[in-house]
Amino acid sequence: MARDAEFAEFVSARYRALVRTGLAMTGDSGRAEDLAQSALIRTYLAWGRLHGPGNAEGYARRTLIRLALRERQRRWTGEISAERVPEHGPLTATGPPDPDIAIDVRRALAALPAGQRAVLVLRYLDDQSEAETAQALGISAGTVKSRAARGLASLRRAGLLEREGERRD
Amino acid sequence: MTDERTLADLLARATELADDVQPPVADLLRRGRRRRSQRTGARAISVAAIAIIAVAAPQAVRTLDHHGQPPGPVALLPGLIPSGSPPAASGPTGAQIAGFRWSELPSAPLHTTQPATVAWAGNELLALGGPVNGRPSPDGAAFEPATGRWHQIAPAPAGVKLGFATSVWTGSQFFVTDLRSSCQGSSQGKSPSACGPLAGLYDPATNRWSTTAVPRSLQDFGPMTATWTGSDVVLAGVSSHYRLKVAAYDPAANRWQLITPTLPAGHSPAYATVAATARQLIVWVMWQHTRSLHNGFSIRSGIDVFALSGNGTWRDMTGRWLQHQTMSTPTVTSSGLLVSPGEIWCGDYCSPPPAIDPGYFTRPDGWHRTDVPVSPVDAAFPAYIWTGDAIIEASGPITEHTTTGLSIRPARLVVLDQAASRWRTLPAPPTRFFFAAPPVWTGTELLLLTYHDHLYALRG
Repeated sequence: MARDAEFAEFVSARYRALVRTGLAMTGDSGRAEDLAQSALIRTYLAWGRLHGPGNAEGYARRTLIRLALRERQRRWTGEISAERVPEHGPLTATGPPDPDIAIDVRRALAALPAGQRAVLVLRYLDDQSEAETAQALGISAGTVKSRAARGLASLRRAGLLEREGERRD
Repeated sequence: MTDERTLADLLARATELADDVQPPVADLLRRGRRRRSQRTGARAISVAAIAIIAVAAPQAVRTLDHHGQPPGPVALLPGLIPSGSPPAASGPTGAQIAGFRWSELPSAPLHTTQPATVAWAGNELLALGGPVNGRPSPDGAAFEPATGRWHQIAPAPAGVKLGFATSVWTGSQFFVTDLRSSCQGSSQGKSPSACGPLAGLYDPATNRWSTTAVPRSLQDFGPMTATWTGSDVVLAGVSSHYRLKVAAYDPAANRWQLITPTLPAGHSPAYATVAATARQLIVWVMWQHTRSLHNGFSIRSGIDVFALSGNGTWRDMTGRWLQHQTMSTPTVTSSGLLVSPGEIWCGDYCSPPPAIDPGYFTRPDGWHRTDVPVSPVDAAFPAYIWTGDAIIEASGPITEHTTTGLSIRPARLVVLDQAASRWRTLPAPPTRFFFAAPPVWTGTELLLLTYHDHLYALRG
């Protein structure tokens, strides 16, 4: 069937990107795959009215983000799993490769309100415009701007965005 | 480099995937086709159901067979609603616990970073599941404080998933199920036969597991909460289709029963929790309603409360229940229901200010609330642990944002001395590891399992 063939091609092309979005939202690779698969099954069900992979991509991403927001489990520590306790000190995006950078970034994201996290993930991981992010989250473009600014400010305060130039100084 | 570009670079690096994360194309197609055919069938069934409902009186309670087909209405299972007395105050006082000290105990023989489920099972601590070398493990172990030793227990049967387990101790068996990942696991090792869903019942007396097939209507659920009524395990949760489900399972008869209450029109459920008091089963549903306007959106939210009593009908008990505070499962105590501190509830798409409302005691006859004094621990999501006479508030080690970056704040525990109505500081656990689960009160001491299987006891 054309529907199945198109969907299979779409999944092959976009699955890993969706899992990465889920990973940024949840900090857990298993949950990220669960979310990506749930979003893709809903996309399959809606395929007939999406009129092609271009619309399907936005639909799948929007669905995944909304599932992630709804699925937030109020774990009492608010923590994510890690193999070890991160060391003290500022984090940087440049410099020698840091094997713990993934854990540190996910922890910093997990500490943000879910709405701010969703905006940052859509804007800066999925490279969505303000208008696309607003549409995906069902909020206004102004709210996208303010959430992005607040989220960036929080990450900056956490030392996550320390700039290479400043660090050298 | 701008902050935006720096963040984009960090996000790209933090979400790099292993090569073995590959699209499960065939499996997604199979599941998609099945859901599509179920949906088509459901449309036809709903037309018939509307006709039937128009003739027959609505029934609050229906039973389900293991194929999810709702047969005719039946009477409420006998004994579902508890008829006992509320638990009496017992155990050491807060002032006595304040004098307890930590002891390091043998580590759990699990070889996992963090067990999936930790629970007190009458006279031993059970720890089950968790990732081992990146794969979910079915293994478990039990620690008996009386002997001071761990022993391995029988592994969970195939089909009983432990990844996001919902569990409850029934007094003789440990009930555990994971409805979220039952048919939606990772792309690895998935097969129809392993797709469940099954619930497992572990009996420590025989070191054996038994399983029960969960009704298909309970598949595809997010986090559920569970309680034990004295005869039934009751599960409450919200599906990915924004549907509330409340189900009762009677282990003695191996029978499931769907007992979902009807929500007011326009209330879309987001989370649900359940507790069994001495006389009734109470379900709390956090709901939201989003409406598109020409210039944006309107969001309403609140909490509906329903009570199921012995006559088998649900009663709307919302009354004066606080509508703007999130809640986790309350603890049934001799002083009423103990509700942990919560954040502001304003719907899933709302980002409330970081304010925490205090915990409190309340009773179903009017929901009059008695606030618990705010503790000196400034924790975002503290856990309350009820000891029978005192409240221990625990905040595990957390990562904090400081001006110099992320740092670790050590764990902090305090106990409420109810006689003096003030919190007393408990010694900090001798560990920097994150807690694997909230500490467990055994009746005489507090057991704490951390990441990497370390075990500690706070005892007198």
